[in-house]
Amino acid sequence: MNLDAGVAPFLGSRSSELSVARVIELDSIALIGDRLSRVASRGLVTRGNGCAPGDAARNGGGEVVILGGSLASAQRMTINVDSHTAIIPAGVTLDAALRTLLHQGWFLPVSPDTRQMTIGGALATDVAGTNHLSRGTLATHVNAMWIVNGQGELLTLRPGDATADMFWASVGGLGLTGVITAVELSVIPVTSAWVDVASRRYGNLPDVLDALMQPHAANSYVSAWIDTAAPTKAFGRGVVSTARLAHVSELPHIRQRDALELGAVGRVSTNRWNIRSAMNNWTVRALNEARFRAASPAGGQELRPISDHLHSRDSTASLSRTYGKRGSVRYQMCIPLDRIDVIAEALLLLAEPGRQCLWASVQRLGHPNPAPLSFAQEGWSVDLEYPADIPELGRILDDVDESVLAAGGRVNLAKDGRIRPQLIDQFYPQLPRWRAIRNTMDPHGKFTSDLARRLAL
Amino acid sequence: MIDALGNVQSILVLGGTSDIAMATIERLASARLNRVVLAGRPSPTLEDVAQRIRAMGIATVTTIPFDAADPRRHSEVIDEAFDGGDIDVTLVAAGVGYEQQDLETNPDLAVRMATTNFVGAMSAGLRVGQRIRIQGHGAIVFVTNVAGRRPRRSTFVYGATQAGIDNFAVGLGKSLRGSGGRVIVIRVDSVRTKLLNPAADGPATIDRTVVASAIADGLRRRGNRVTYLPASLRTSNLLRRIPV
Repeated sequence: MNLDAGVAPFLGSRSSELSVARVIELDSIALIGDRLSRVASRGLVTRGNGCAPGDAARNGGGEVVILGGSLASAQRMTINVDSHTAIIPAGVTLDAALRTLLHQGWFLPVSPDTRQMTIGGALATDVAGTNHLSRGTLATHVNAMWIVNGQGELLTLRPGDATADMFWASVGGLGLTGVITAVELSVIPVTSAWVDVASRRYGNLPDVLDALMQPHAANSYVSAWIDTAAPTKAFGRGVVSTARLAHVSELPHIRQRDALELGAVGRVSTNRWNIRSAMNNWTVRALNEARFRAASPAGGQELRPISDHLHSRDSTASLSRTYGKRGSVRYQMCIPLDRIDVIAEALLLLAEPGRQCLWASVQRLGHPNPAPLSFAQEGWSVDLEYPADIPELGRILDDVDESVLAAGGRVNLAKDGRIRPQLIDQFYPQLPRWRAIRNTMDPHGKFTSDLARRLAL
Repeated sequence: MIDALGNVQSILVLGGTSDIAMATIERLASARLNRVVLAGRPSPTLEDVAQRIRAMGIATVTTIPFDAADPRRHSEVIDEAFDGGDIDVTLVAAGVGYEQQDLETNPDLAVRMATTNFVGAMSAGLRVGQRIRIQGHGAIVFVTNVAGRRPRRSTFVYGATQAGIDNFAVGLGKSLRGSGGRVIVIRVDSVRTKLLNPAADGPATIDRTVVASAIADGLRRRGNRVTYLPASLRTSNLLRRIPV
């Protein structure tokens, strides 16, 4: 069935200029090929579940393809218990995939901070989780990817054979190399949907980063929340959390029966009201103080559902209105381990009165994968969210861009809505190679997006 | 694309030699602005303006012959601008002004003014609107005069053209809802430009840089906007509605 859902305005999930595209739901590979043969000059892009904060999944004046039917059905998933692998249609959200996997005692090896994204979207943006140091990005665990290229041909791409170049160009390729239709990836056995979390608070930035540098057990989920409204003498203080998947036997007896149940998401929503007026220096300081004090300086341990801890974004996903009508701007940078001065610089900018930010997290990243447009390089990842109406925010972030570039780092394109096109080649030195591969997969330039146009990808 | 923080990548100016347009380009010029299309009557002044904009470091600055009073050629001009790539912002800045006394004694002059200020702007605005619907995003900026909001003995002919274009602009904004396009209307009393009679410089006269800032502010926000400059004009507009 080819459902032409008409036109729809798309914002990023956060702040961005509005653009309107024709939305088409396609539920078979044949229909994708057919659509590609008839696409107009403004091209098409695949949209997963609209989790990208920027303009990666929008295509003003063009077509936006949403996968439906069997291409988005968790019932079409197949799990191979012998090889510990699963084949998942690309339009299935991580939430739906995890519910099916957990039901049979399996879990994804990498969990980004939201499980609302689709598997295809996760691959096209090369998502990482807080266990990147030991497990890399989700793409590292993918054995095969099925993708319809610009000529409407279904390709099977594998990281270890002659198609490796196309595979890695599609990983982090922002949907510009083709329409991903299914993915085969490794899964890990689990006995519960709970994690054992150890949290400890540290009074300043060097201590937080020191704690992140300590060796952690394999497959630990390690990250730090930073209090951006901390007093000057406690600049960069935060809470470091280390989590590991819990065994069912560790759970209280009452929890053991439903140990593999995944909790609900998005319990708090402010979409119907605007609480920006309540967000001032005092309230943000108080909220952050409470969050900081909730962790013990000596370290504490507790069992928490995966949905609360690993998918931390989901509980606040509906809070974008917190940042006012103009929403917020995400900024994620990756910088080498020895350049903590750049982290300090970015956090200092947030520390100014009137620049309240509820979200600032830091984690360590491990070895990069070979994808030319992959964001995750060895070093630090700093993920920040700023209210878009901060005066001079554009100039401030431009300055941070320069520092990140000088330090040899990069900015995450999947979360970007504002970087200067001139910097792209410098952030991503392998961009010419990616363009060459993209041009072989899509010689007529049928895949495009607002982001691709804005940054001249 | 206009990015998440309101930075513009491309501008089309209809009335390329306008002082307000130049101030707006200066205000919006950033590392992201890479294409400016100046549509105006071919003249050394137009080329001079283009040269000044190139000197700001903007990669592509082109000029297209455009006469607001010749609507038959408007399609060609707008298509040429949009065929060269997405246009994020179109600034409708073409307009003329004459002394009221001359307009009353020479109605042909009034017709010419109405053709340029109203018919021309409407014709170009509708065609830009069509292209915005096709590209799925974009903003059109109109700078109108409050003379159109309140008929006065001293400005009623000019005011009539402004009333027309103001109504048109607000309506165009409404018609573009849901298309990705939007309209920003800046209502001014008088602006210090080369066209301003120094004798008319009064308390409500503003600098063109103020207009440019208001346009930049409108682009940073979402949706259609009407801005009065100075803001006190909004109050006098309300007073107009009180029955006497």
